[in-house]
Amino acid sequence: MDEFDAVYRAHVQSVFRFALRAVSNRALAEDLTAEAFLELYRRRDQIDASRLPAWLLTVVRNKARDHWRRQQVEQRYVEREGGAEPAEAPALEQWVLESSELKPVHRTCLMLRYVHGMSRAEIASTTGLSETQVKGHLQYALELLRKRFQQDGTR
Amino acid sequence: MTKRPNDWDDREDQLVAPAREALEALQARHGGDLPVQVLRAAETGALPDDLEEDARAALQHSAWSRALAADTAENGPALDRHAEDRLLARIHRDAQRRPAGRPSWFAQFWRPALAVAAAGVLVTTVVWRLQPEVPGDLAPQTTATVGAAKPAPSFVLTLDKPAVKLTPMALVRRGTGRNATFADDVAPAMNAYRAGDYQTAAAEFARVQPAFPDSVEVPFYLGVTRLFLNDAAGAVSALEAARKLADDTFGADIAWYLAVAQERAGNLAAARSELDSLCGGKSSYAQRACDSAAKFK
Repeated sequence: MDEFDAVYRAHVQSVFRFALRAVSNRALAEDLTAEAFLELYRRRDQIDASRLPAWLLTVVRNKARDHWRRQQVEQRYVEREGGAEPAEAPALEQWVLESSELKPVHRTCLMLRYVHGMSRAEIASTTGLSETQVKGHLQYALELLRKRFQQDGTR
Repeated sequence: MTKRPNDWDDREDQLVAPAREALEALQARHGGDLPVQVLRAAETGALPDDLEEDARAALQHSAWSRALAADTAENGPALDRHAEDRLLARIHRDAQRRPAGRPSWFAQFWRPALAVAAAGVLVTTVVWRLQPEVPGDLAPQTTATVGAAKPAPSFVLTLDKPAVKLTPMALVRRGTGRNATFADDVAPAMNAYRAGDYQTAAAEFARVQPAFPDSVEVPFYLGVTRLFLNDAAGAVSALEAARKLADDTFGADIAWYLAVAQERAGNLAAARSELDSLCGGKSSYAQRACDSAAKFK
């Protein structure tokens, strides 16, 4: 399997990232990654190396689509006219979206926990970060938020 | 905070206090947004069409949704070396197992050779019967060789591994230990199942089954696990036990894997019956069941 192992090492990171983005669940993303490479192993005589990693991503995409179909995501969200948000975002929303003090990862953790009510474990599974990393990013973001409110009482 | 995660702590409460009112306003404003998981998946093309359309609209019109989807992508998480090695070992292990309905490398290579040998033996047998002077001790050897050349069974229904999912009840079911949850108790079995270690998974599922007689997850995944262990009769037994619990979350999954198990157990009429039932329904298995049912004679 030496040749296959080399192909695996060359592409596994990009395939896993794609899988994680497709299903937002680290464990499931690992499953999909393993299944895609297993499929490649079984068809290695038919798949030209020039088709990689696109072929692997297609396998993951199809399996992820099956996952979403099985999930039958409840339509719990409110469908707005044209998907548009109500005008005039609150000052806090503007700060969250536009503040240069917040790095993307802090912003993500802040939004998911304090607005979307996710636990640290859920955030970790969704983003692929460890729970320790999530905790650290949340502490940093929360400290910035607190300072912001002390400064000018952003509402 | 109106929407508070279950791992909220006191220190967090103090830090959030000055912003509580503003955060609650944001919760109200974005409480009906599409889940972040759906927004992220939209960019991979992995969503069913209806969800894809909603996600595209949200990403187009909502800065908040765009930020959620974009920011999480930038985190770029990866597998560490340990996880990378673990997955590779799992692929190697699964690759050694003969995929359902497909001949192994051994069969691919040797079956034609054995078929030729069997044909030769058959000719020899016929010739021997026509020429009784050939030594009689060839007869049993001939029979054994022909038996060995019998092709491995191939199946109409392929065995795919279903992802782990839980019913809503599983989230509130108590475990056997103090403060333990159902999820804690079944974790060893589920982890082994996910890792492809089906021997351990089967043993673990069987171990916890008596403690959770109302759980559909345990008999369902036990049944699937037994399928991967080529124990079709055991799979039928476990899946029928799962069906008796009448849980809608797994209803179609149970029917599909029962069809797979019944075919492998040689009960083709029962397999066909499961497929017909699925084919007439609206589950995600319907199309596959219709296509497969047509292949059953």
